Amino acid sequence: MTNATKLETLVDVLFGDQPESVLEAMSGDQRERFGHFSRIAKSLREPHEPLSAELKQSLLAIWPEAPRRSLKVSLLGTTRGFAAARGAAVDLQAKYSIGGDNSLRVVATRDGDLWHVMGKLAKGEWTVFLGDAEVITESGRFEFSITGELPKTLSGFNADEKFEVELRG
Amino acid sequence: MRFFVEGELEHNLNRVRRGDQRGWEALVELLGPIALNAARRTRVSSEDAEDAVQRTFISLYQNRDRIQNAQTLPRWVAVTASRNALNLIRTRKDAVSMEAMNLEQVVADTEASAEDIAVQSVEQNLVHQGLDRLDDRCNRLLRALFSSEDCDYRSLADDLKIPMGSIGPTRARCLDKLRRSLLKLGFFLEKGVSRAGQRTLDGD
Repeated sequence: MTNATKLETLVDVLFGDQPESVLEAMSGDQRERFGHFSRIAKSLREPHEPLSAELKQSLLAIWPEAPRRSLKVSLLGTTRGFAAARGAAVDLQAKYSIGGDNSLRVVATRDGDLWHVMGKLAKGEWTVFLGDAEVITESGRFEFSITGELPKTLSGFNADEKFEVELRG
Repeated sequence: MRFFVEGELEHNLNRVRRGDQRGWEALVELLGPIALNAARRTRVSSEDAEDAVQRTFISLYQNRDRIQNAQTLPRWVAVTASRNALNLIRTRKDAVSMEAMNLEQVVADTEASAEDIAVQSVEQNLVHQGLDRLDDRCNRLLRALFSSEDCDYRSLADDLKIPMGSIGPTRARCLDKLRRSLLKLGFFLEKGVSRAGQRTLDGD
């Protein structure tokens, strides 16, 4: 029996065009393949509904109309006038109000092309991302190094607010 | 529809957390069909299933910051949608005493198989996504063959513009193509998606 014939025989059994007893003469590999076909067939024989346009629209509408508050600033600008340098090791230090009495404080130091950035959020539980990667936070603190190309976006969120800081070279 | 590619769920969940609406649109696209079909498997009406799905996505949005592992999302939406549907059945049970006996059985059956419903829904979604990735002829042929016990082979052959005698060999080749693409994804190694961490969100 050729491979093509074996395949057709397995599928014939699946559709009831040949008795299951023919599987007994098949190898273990072929019976395993038949098991795969059976599992696929079980899924395909169950009714499967696509999302209707109305349901999809109602799910999209869950997204809130009023977005979280957003803050966009350049942190590592070529002009350092806005930064209060503190000691030789710190190239930049900045503090931003991010809503209410909360604030984001960022300290950055440069080592060649590498930036080391540390930050702290004054209040609340925030999750902070550099690009798409979550930056580990503990008690509102985070720390990371920027090794890739700039600009990158540092963003944070809590239940009601978010901030975005654009890191530029 | 698409297969979940590595990091896709996490990427879009992160977008949602950052307030990027495109992430939400992607999650609706990726997870909506899983939730809907999980809800439907509890045997609720189409209307109630849609209601259950909507509640599921509201819960997903409200809990977006608590999700620890985005890979558990398909399973979570399936389980949550089926439970939401089940709650609707319970509501009906209180309201329609005439059918109480049947509904009790439905509730018992559904609770017992909530996990299986989730696995089957996620698995079914993957198979349908795999089907969508096949060429048009295979896609149409397999959908037609599996959608009805009494498929009219002659009409199907005419529709696909192939000789009727080719349907047998063609269906075998198409099914094997689908099997191989699912095999590459590790589909047959375990039940659809990992059970690990499935209770990350609802905590029960």
